[in-house]
Amino acid sequence: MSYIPCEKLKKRRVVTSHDVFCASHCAMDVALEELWRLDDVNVFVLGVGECAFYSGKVVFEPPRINRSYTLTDREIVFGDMSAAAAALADVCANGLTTVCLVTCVPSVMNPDMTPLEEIKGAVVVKTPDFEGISPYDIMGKVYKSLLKMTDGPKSGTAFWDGRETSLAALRKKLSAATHIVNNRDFLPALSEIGGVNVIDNVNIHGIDFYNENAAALGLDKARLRRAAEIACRIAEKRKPVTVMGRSAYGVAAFLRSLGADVRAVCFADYNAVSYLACRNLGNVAVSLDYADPPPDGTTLLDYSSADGELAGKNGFDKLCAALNHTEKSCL
Amino acid sequence: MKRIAFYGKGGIGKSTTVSNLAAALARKGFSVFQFGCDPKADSTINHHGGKRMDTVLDVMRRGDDNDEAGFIYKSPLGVYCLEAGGPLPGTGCAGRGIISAFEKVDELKIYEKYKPDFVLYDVLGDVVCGGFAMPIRNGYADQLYIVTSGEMMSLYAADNIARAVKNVGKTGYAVLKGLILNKKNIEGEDELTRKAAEEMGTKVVFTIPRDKTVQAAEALGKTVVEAFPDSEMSRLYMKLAEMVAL
Repeated sequence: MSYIPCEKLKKRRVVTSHDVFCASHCAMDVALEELWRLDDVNVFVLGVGECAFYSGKVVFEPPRINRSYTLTDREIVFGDMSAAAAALADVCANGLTTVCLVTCVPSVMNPDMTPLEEIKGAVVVKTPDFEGISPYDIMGKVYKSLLKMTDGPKSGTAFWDGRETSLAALRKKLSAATHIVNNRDFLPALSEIGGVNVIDNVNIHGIDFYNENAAALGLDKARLRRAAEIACRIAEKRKPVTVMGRSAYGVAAFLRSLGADVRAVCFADYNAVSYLACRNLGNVAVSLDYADPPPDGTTLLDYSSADGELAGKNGFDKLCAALNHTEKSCL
Repeated sequence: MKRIAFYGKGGIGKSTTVSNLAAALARKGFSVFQFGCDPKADSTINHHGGKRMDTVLDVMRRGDDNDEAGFIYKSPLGVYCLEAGGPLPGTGCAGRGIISAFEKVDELKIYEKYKPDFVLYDVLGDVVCGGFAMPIRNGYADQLYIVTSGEMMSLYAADNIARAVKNVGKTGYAVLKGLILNKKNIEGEDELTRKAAEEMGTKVVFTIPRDKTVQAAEALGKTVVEAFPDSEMSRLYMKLAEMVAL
């Protein structure tokens, strides 16, 4: 694809090459493997043969259960979920929360899921692979279903980085007054919570955000100054720029907040979060293919060679790494 | 065996036309199947005194589907009637239901067994998904007629169907034979329909005038051909049968 205005960005999967994107997981598989880490959760996959075949390969230690239910032609035609509900109730009988992952075929059917949703301990989540931009986007929806805010006093700070190994531990964090989100899977669930302070430390933001949240995020002021200096040097050149590399949309937001003229961004990590970030950025051309030449008249700030390093970082750390590489290669 | 699909906007008179055509063909001595492909399952009621019959999917739901006895009925004039049926409105997947019904008919080798001269598919007006395209797309029908009036919405639906056939036209797809004008007596209806047909790249191949005999027959739960065999309308449907049989 070539650069397009961010308003024309589509909320759908972009496969530039099947050689590159082969063997990507489906959304159900992503959710199943993530839920496997939580030692107090069962999984019940509702789908067709292939869903059962692949989900069956993930082994859960007893008493946890990983079971799948394969829909028959009759159930698909008539939308009768009674047998599936009975099977789900059977899984829920061990007392653990059971996440029912509804895969592509039943999601297309849109059956009445009330009989399954009413089962005590069951959490039903539609996880069709075709829904998200990236199959990993589904985790936002899964956690949104699992983490519902409870009443009661709120105090302290919770860090959401996804290291917990139980649903109980995750739910316990909901009593915090401040939530620092370091893992994008938790953003949709927490961004809907009212009355608490939720700080998105997944994405890169403008300078004002970091000044406001420096204490909560424990930011090193010297690092913040240095990041601002690099951004100001870019801005002082008064040349339009194209930012290229992982999370370029976030780096662009930071550069703009210090006066740089960012005209275009190019990145490969396209998903629900980056889609929204680009839309929020506004007035910028976007490409998802590093092979595209930058728009005429712009200077390329290319730190894409450091994508691997940036993949393991969040928010401000990611920004600093990107700017360091930008400085080395472009300034 | 000649297999013909009839499409058109809902309420335009497809089932009436197909039922009378089936009855006329049967009267001419042909062996005829009328296959209703609408989840409402009301295509063939005028062959059965206005009564709804069990559908292929009704029988499949009950699990009595080892043979066709539960869903094929022979009308007094000898038309074999079957309805695909569907799930309850708002549940399941009606498109998949149509496909399942077609597969059941194949599985039971019904056409091989009965060896009909004609199979008439009466398909609901809106081809909302692939299931409803089965008759024209998967080698089930050889020919396609669109039943329409001269009303704009009816012609619009006809155009959509004609375009669908044209756009995907390839081996195994039914060939559009033309429009059957089922008149509603609106002003300039013949001319409007003729022009629309021209724009669709087809023609009006038959015109059925509006006639109270049709309603009178339906009130008896019968086709005109059965209820009033000597009427002008019955003679007209016999003519339609001759055209289709050519």
